[in-house]
Amino acid sequence: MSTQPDLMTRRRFLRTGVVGGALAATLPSFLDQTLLKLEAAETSRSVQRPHGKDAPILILLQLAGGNDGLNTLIPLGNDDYRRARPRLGAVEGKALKLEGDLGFHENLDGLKALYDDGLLSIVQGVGYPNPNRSHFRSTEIWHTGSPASEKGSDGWVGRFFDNQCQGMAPETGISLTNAPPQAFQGPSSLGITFRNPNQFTFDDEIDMMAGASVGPATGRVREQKDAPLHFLERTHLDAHVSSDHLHDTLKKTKAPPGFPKTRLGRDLELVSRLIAGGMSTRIYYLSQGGFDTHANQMGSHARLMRELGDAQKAFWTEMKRQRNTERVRMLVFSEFGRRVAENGSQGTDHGAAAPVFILGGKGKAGLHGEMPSLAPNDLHRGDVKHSTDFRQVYATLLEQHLKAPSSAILGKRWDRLRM
Amino acid sequence: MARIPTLPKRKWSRIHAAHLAARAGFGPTPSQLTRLETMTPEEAVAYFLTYPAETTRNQAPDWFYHDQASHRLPNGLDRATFRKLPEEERRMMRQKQQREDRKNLRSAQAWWLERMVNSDHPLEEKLTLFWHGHFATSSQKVRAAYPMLSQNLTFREQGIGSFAMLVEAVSKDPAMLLFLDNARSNRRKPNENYARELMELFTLGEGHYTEDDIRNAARALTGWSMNATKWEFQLRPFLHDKGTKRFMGESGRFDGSDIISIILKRPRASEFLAERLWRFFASETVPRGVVSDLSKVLQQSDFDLKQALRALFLHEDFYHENVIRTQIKGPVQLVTHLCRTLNSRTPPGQRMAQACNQLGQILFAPPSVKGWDGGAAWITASTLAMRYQIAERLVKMRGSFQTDHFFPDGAPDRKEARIQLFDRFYHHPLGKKEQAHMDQVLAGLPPPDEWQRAQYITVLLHLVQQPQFQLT
Repeated sequence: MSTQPDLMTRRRFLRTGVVGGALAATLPSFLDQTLLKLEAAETSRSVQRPHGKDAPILILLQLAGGNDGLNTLIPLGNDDYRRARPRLGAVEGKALKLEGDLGFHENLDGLKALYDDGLLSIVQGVGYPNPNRSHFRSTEIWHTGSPASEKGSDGWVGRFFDNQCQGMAPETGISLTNAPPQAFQGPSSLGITFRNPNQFTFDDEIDMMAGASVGPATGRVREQKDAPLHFLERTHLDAHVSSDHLHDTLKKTKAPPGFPKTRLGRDLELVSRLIAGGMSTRIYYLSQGGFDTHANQMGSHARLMRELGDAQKAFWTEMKRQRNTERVRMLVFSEFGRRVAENGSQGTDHGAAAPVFILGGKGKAGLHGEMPSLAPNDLHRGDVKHSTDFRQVYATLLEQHLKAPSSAILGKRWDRLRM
Repeated sequence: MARIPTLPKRKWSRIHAAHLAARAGFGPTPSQLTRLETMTPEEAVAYFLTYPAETTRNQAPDWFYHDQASHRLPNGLDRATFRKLPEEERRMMRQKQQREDRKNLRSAQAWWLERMVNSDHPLEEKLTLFWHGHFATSSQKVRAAYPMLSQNLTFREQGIGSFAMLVEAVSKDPAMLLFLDNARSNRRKPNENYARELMELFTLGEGHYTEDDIRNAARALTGWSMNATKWEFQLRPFLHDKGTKRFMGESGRFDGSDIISIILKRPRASEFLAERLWRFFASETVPRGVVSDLSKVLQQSDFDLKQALRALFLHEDFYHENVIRTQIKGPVQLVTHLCRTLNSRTPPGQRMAQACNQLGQILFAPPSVKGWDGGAAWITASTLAMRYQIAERLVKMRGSFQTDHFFPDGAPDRKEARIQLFDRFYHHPLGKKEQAHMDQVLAGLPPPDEWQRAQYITVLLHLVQQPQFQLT
């Protein structure tokens, strides 16, 4: 099986399969661009992306499972915290002191260095009204940006694609996960998902027959019963095109040094290579799993913090080398924080508000938002109350970084953060 | 008994028979399809529903019957002796045990996949897969093979009986007790993990309980724990909160069983289960009428799963054109269905397992307590590429198919070959577009009576490396 896709085969596939199928009139414009590009590539043998060279890039990293915000950004000398966490509160002793009464978990020395370097902003107490403590529902709320009482299914990134990226290539969004994130869902169906670029290849035998199955995918709107087939055909087509772009880009770049050999380390290493290679991707979605620490949290959370901090340090060192620290911005969030009081299994149950991290970009680094009170009377069912709505964070990133109209995308005007 | 609209006998066709075989099992073999086609819908459904649920406990892989304790502590040691060993020795023993567990889990995957391909009771396997996704428990956290396979056997034994008993069995299942932390929960600080998922994912669905219900259910469930050396359920009264709990409008000194029966009294419980069954076996679109039909059957039968499944498979909406061939095959379905279609004599268990793992469905290790999302979530740019590569590997494998099996009545002309091949691979004639494409492919090959293995492989790849082959 060939892992180096052959450009000639692609051309044959695109021409005979799609254009040859008398469907040229209904071609999405990214395919036009792809055809033009392939033509150009044939003569110059150097692939230039027609767009996206300098466009801002946003990376979304979800700490999946509900990160314990209080043991990540630790309140120092806080009696309420100490009372609520007789065992897990032991992390306070070795915390890396920031300003005020806050310290990072001892394994976040990587993030601490980025903070000192002015590359990291922390927004405290981020959540939403009527917090939902189900992983799946709360993830859905964060991904759609809709109120807890409403069930919208389109993602906020999907709406951004629809608003700002029409006609662009499918890899405008890349998710390095097993399944497409709900955040990408939307009318324009941009965004491709893969776990491992080495497995994301097609061999020639498939290409030759791709035409017949692909054709109608771009055609008329189909009845509902054909929806899964339409979706499969669409993915088939997107996959062929994006797989080429991806492997072309990887061919042009080398693996940068210094990334830890963890899953997050490898994911961020890949993203840094795709950015260096000029991939036209605007939004990357990544997920670090394992944060649902109901029992014996101490050791597992420490390992997660180590993985997170070290990978961030390596990534932003590489961004500095690429001079991309302003063009690239990253939001690190979790679907919820955890209960203030530890449970009886030396773990913590599902909670509500928690801090988010914003790295890179042009914003003002440092501490933002208000640290919620941990006093028992100020808690709602044992959880901290949010002081900043996560949609304010989205609005800030959309307006300030992506230069996109946030109210059209979020369905309402949210106050931006001053950062 | 509730009357449900069923498919009339006269409408029963080969397409319907294949649809039933694909959903209640892993697709028909050619001879099975011909048999099902000649039955009535009732007979065909009865063929799938009738199997002895208790026999599989004797048919697990050999390692399962070795000293149970050895699956937890190496060499049958008790805890006290183990703790006294030098650190280095303990580490080595633990590593050895981990290797053993990984090997056993791989063997369990292969064992199960081979059963899916070969079993005379396909619904037993399909339903077990449903419960594995519904009560999703992962070896990633349980970290031992024995309780994972033991849970699988429980799904087989209880999976087609009473749902109430199944929920109780799962709540006391060692793998589940460990996976959702109830084994460690205690009256001083109850762990809410199991209580929450019991209601959110297993019985009612999000939004049909309050946070107070969760806290009180967690208190009631304290004391349901396990014996970690024998891998058995154990009631630990000193962990149990004996106080009064208020739960869903009732109050009393409830324990786990009380909580389960109060939950199942809610009308929502039968609706929720009806929806889940329909989504898995029929379609992600759930018509209101179907939910009410199936949930009535559940309520009137005291949650009898066999009656609910019978109603589902006979329901006329199950045979609606929006349901037939609109389900995206999960990796397990894709791989087993392909092996059954190829009719290979020896299904390659380990290779099937490897393929499923690559495509994102690792048996005994679902990605979260929610199980596998299914449907469109299976398909990404890269999993689609991998599906084509894997189909190619399985088709090209030595002994994967026999050329003389394809046209038993003698080689037909090209058009008839296409009709028979579509019947075998898609169980459906498909549309003009697909027919024209295949005719074009066949026109470029010698006539079917001259095909050798190489020509068969070319043709088979054209059939399976297709969006259409991802559907069932």
